Amino acid sequence: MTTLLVFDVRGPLAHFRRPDTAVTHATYPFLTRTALHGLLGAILGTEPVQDGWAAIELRAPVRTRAQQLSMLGKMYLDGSNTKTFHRPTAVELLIQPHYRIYYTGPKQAELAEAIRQRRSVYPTYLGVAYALTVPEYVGEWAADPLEEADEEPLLCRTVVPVAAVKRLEPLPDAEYARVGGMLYERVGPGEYRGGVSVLYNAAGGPIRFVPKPSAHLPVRLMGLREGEAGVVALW
Amino acid sequence: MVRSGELLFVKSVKDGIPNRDPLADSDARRLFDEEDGRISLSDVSIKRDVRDFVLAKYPDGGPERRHFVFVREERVNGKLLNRRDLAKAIVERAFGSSEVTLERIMQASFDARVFGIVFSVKDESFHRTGPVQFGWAHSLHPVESRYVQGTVVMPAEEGKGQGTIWTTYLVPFAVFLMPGVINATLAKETGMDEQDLALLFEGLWKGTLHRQARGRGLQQPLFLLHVEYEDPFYRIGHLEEAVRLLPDAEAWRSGRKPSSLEEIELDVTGLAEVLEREAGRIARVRYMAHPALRLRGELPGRVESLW
Repeated sequence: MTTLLVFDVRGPLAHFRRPDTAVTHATYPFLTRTALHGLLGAILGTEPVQDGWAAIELRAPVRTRAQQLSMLGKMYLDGSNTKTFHRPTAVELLIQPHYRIYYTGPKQAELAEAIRQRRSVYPTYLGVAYALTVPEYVGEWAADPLEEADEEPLLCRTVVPVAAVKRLEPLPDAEYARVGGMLYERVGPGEYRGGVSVLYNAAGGPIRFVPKPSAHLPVRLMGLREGEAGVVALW
Repeated sequence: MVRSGELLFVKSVKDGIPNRDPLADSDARRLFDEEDGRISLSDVSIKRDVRDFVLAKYPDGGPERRHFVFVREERVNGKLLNRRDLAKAIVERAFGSSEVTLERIMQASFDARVFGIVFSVKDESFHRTGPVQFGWAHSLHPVESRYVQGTVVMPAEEGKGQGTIWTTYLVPFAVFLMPGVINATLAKETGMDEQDLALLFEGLWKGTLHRQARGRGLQQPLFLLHVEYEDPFYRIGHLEEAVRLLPDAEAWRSGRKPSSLEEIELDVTGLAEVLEREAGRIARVRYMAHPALRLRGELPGRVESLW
């Protein structure tokens, strides 16, 4: 049995910028693994917390809006253009996001205490500084690892890496989607390593699938014994 | 020393849109769906209000030469100063020397200390996260914008017999609420002090009044709340969710929409309950309000006079 720290983050908007977008800032459809590590680090006042395992549940549908903002021109900033101060930049925003995070790892006790006390060394936000949020403690729930090589489909509350899915099963009202190219881990300021493709329910609910052992990417499936029923995928 | 805290800022606009959406024919910014009906203002827009006010008040950096504005458009003989040249100009005016360092920029620039800075030019690159971060402001009620048309009396060119026709979207009346946070850890890192904090609040209030233009409408600051915490790492968060505007959404969707300050009331009952509940962790609450704004509920803390 493992105990998972469970907390929520939400807000009116969020933006998790896709690094391959320059002129238009597109967003990933939900909180990324690397942004979550940064959020945990902001709470403790440290570098991003990469140790441990985390699962991300979408508790609201994925909805986006594009907004054009007047940002400082890149050529103005680097001095190569002396004509234009502003650069109109379209930014894709996630609207009214709500995530539930499940975490287990070496920083669990420290994080649980900080979140329960609503304490954070640095401000916490959802991808960009104007997307203010405050982590809200939900609890510490017992969970059990799932047996491997089971052909029975699972009802998974969280997003799951494609590598851990053998077969998707339909669910009423679900809108299954896949996002590719999510950065896997940070190796230094502005430097990342690896990519991961992830399945999610854009309607904000669970995913039903038959799992398989993930060869390249470690994924731990755990059944919740406390709190709300279901399985979570930690990675 | 600046304490960690949060702020709420409420402002109204009449017959205009302070921050438009170029991707939607310069109508109001709509992040939320039609059923919700709220419109929004970006944090960038409200920071600009503050910066423009500080720039107007202290064009030469103020008596101590520490209130320059770093994010601004400055031209010399019509030529735009790029980031590096502007940094040199500010440092020159503040210190009499053009050697640009992060410390000098931070000491001389109000907005770098308060909102942070990203500086990246050839051979030089640094950044500081600002201790003050604003969220977007959202209207406290559904808003229906209007598409209006008018004519310019003066012909655009010689020989033309009449003026041109213009069209624009406007909002008859709307009230916006913006949340913000102030972080003591980052304030130490940037050197933001109590003087900066006071100027920030003055900039929010007076900057809203200062930055007027026909298309932006008549803007009016209504309410500014500042909560400071004993614990530098503590935050209540989502304070804006405890504030309501009366009448409720249905009235704003009806044919009898409020159209002036006299017809609305800011309900802070829920906010007062939150602040009372967390009183043990709060060092100070203070707020200022427009004299004509009706507040429902008794807030703890001190009412501050307007400037």
